[in-house]
Amino acid sequence: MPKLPKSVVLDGRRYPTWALSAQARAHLVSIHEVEAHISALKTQLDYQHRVRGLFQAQLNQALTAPALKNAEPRYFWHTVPAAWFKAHWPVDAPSLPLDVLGADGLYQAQDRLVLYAKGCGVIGWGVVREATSGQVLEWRCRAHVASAVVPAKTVKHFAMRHPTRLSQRIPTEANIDGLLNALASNVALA
Amino acid sequence: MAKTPQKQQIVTIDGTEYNVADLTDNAKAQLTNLRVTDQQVERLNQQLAIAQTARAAYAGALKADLPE
Repeated sequence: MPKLPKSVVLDGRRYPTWALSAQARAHLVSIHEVEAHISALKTQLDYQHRVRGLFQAQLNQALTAPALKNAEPRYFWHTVPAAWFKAHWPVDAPSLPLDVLGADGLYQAQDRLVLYAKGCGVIGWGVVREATSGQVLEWRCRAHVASAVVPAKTVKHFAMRHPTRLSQRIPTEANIDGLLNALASNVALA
Repeated sequence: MAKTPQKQQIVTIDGTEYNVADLTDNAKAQLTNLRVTDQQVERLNQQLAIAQTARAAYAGALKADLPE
């Protein structure tokens, strides 16, 4: 059993240790041990709080780094059903609400969407923008006639495959510029 | 049937929301560090609460055993 002091002060009264019962002395030992444990825990907590502060500072630095502000835009395939394409195409407005495309909440501002109509091909592309009424797709190029659509079989020439899901990220290694230029050429010639 | 694509993954640290997809690898690593640290702090606080409860119990038992 650890060595106890000759006396202890409890509730303002001093008690000689020898006057305490064996059980009381055992409780006193337990209190000392728990207090040592509490002190160690507080030391660890102080350390973790300091470490957390360092990580927060590093995160703040990483968030304001130039690389983040100049990040490359993200490109996505967005698929529309053939029936939708036949019913709504061509569109004349310079932008289209994303909820019309079933894309509400899927994308961020500045994302690029390449629209693919099932059974047809690439029909246009645009940039997602935040508007007061919600997110919209601002057109950059769209096929007004069927002959301007880039068919699926042509897509593979640009190191990518046509989409198989509603929304798919286009890999950065794909020749996106080539595809978009092909669409622009088709539109110009149509 | 096509799977529904995942919506943006947002994490909140100290009341600020971060879209994980927007972050650099370094920022994501710092976010992970913060999460781990927060878990450590929570664990230590739980242990501290248990120890303080135990101390109160021992103090109560000791008080009951004090001579008159």
